[in-house]
Amino acid sequence: MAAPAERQVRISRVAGRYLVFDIDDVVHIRRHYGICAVLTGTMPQNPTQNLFLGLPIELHAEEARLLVDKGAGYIADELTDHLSQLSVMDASTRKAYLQHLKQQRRNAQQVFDEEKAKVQAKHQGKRKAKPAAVTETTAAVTETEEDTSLFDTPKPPSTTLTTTTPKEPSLPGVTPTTSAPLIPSPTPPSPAVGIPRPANYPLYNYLNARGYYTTPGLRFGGDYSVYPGDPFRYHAHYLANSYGWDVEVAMLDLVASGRLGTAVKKSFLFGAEKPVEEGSGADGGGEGGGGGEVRVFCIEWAGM
Amino acid sequence: MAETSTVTTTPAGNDATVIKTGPPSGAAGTGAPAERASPPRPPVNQIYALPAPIRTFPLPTFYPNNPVSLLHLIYAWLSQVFRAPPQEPSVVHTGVWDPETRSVHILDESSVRALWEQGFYGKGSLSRSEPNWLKRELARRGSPEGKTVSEARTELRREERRLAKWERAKAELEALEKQRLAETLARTAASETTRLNGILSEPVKAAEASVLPSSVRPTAVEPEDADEEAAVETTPVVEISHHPEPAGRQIRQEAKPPVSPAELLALPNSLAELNNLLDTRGKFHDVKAPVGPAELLLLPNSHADLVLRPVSGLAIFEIGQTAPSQPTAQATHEVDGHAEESHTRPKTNGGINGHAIKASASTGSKELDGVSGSGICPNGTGKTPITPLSLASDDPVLCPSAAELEGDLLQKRGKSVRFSPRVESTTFLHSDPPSPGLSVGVLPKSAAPALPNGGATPEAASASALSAGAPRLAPDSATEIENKEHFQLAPEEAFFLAFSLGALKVVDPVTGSPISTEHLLPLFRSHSYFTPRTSHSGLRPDDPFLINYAVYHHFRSLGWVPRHGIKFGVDWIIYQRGPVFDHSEFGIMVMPAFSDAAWEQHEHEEPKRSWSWLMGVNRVLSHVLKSLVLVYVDIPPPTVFDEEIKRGGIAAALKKYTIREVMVRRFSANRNR
Repeated sequence: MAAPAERQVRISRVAGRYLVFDIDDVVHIRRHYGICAVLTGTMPQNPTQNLFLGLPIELHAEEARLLVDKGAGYIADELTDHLSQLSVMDASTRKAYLQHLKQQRRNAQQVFDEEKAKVQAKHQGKRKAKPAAVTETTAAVTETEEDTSLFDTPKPPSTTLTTTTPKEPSLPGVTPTTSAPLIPSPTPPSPAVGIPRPANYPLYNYLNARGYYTTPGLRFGGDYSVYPGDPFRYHAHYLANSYGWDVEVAMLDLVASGRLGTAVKKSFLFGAEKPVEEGSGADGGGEGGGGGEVRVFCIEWAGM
Repeated sequence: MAETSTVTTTPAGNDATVIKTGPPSGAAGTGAPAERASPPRPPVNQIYALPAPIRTFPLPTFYPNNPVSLLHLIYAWLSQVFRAPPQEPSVVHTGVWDPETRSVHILDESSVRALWEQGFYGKGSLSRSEPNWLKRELARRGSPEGKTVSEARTELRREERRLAKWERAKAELEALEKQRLAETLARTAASETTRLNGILSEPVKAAEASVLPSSVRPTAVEPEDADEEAAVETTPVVEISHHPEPAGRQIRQEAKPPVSPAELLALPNSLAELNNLLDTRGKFHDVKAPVGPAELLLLPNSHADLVLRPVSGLAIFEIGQTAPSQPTAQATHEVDGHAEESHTRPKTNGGINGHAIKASASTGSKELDGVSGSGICPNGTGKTPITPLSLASDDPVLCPSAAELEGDLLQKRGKSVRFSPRVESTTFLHSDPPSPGLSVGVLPKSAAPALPNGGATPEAASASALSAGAPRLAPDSATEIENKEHFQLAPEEAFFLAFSLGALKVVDPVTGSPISTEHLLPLFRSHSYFTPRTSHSGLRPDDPFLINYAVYHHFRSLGWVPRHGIKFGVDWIIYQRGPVFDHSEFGIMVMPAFSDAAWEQHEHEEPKRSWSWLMGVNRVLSHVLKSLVLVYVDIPPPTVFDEEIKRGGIAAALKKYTIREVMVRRFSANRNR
């Protein structure tokens, strides 16, 4: 998981939640940092279903903290960011933004036109398949054309726009989904916005440092379900729970978690960070990110 | 219930009675099979008739239109007046408080039985739950009455399940092997005919088609299958030179003997296909990069495979290639020392799982011997090792080349457990002998001689295995064995018995003097903390014992039968009548609630419950088909509690606790439509 150091992931903090809106960033942190957070956005096409969600992804506080600690991301407080950026906006940026909106509408119109042309071509090809072979070939040609143009939409807009859509005034309305074009240059803020260290952070850091991927473990009654690699490839091996070093763990919790873990073919993992003592100073080989040693145990339900 | 056949007194030939598993009509509802030699137990309704250790003597009902009922009523009343029944509770049990285990030990055997049957499910000190160590001990020593011990039954059920799983794995493996064998045959035949004619002609394909049963053909093999056919067809002269290698393969196998069904299933999938590939088409595939999924699967799975490969290469030249090298390889192949069975058939080389498997394996090969014309190819019990694969030789035309072919096949088969190529159904009668042909004679050392009637069943084998290999002693009477088990009552149960019913006298372990309930309560309360709080000042109304006892008392008074639910990760599980009659339907989580406003002046610890905790508990319970009930206990503030306990004693103080139940069920909008 050696990461290129130059990429800085913008983590937006909105109402206390840490969100990532850029799909490239999402891929980047998943590939290089083993963070596959939770997709939380609904699909604009189908807002009522909750099975398949889209961007943005929501990071746990410990995941965001990990990225910041590794220097791979920065926290942007979206509220203050937006307010400050919008207040200093001048006429040129406003014009640019309007231009951008218009461009988006044009793109949408172009997509519509292509769809329509495709459907028409298909209909025509069906209708005239029998009488004339020549028209069939032309239809096929147009179809292949459209296929290629579907895949790389950014290139051809200027040419097709001028040729196919003369009806400039009736462009479709577009609802902007992000405010990214409003803010011209999303740069890391000079005073870095910090994240308070979450209680689960040591265990999370410990697991992440060993190459484990984690997803929320709520459905198994734990903090994380821990995968040995990308969750696309593996089943989870552990369900993990983080405790404080001196916390008394209820016996019933251990029994229930151990039993549940075994029932779903995982083992129950729990860990805590040893608090750093002032006298000893040196941490005992722990990678807790400034904390002490993290100790981790596994429990399985054994039939005696 | 399958253990019935082992202790049956009916003749073993009568299969219909032996395999009957349902409860017999005579003792309906008992769940006890009729074939037991011991005297029939009374029905459970009778055993567990009393829901609590108190008997009641209700007067008969008076019907105004039936004057005789008045006579009956008067008679009952007079008899109770003049000859009053003993005061209830008529039996006061004695228990010893044990601070180490925080439980009340019941030592008297009749008390243990009585308490268990009246709904106080503590724990036997030597048992999982029910105190039946003595029964198990009896069973171990061969007494028939020990067969009903639930632990033994659980063991048997697990054994059966294990066997069934093994049978399933075996059937799958057999199908694979059969397919592979058919392919090898077809390929060899093809190469033979190619060698003779120089042309690959139709009959080969026809033969192949006839050999391959399309129903058992596994889909995973098909790509390879097609591939091989293509290879055979495109290259008319395929030189099959697999003599040197198989010996090496033997060695490779020995390095890591497969023991579990999973491994066995995994082995042929990867290695054998690999070997097939290397044997037949090594030239092509060594140079071709693996592209298709089948080839990718054929790649060595681990580093261990790669390391082992050179070893096998070396062994080629040391061991040689002919069949006589087989027995030595096989001998080292015995994995876990079932030598006493393998001496009859050294080449079935089971040794992997146990009696039943071995028996069926040998059955298969035996039947095969019958099927194949064993005169042509040496197939019998002679010196040459045989495997079930010798089915191959049932075509007499192939036999000239079969020397080489069979040698090859033998080498190839030397890796793991042999199963009979006949795919058997996984259901079989429990009275079936392990192998029909060989039941008495050929299986001399297994469980067969233990049973006089020769009907050796898998259950018998497993039962004898259960008895830890000890020789069967003469059945002892229960009096000769000292019962070393005692019964541990939970403090809540003990306090309910002592305080609410007066049916238990708790005795101090040191002085031997009985503890009064006024002293028993602080004792239990102080011990409900991990380091027992000795000082009286440390006790508060939110002691875990008090809260739990309030819940226990609540449900017990309403007729439920509570039992500790730690194995399900909850505080209590409650039964409608008891574990003998039904499964418990609810798991109870006790939630202390400091709802009284006066609690703000007193320090207390609010319970910390998270969503993940709730999800986990609920999921555990739903796995065992129970519903989660959160029971909130409103705890009176300390001032009220102390005042009440001064005024009216424990009962008045307990009345200040209120109980609310909330049943939790998981609702998923996508599932619950």
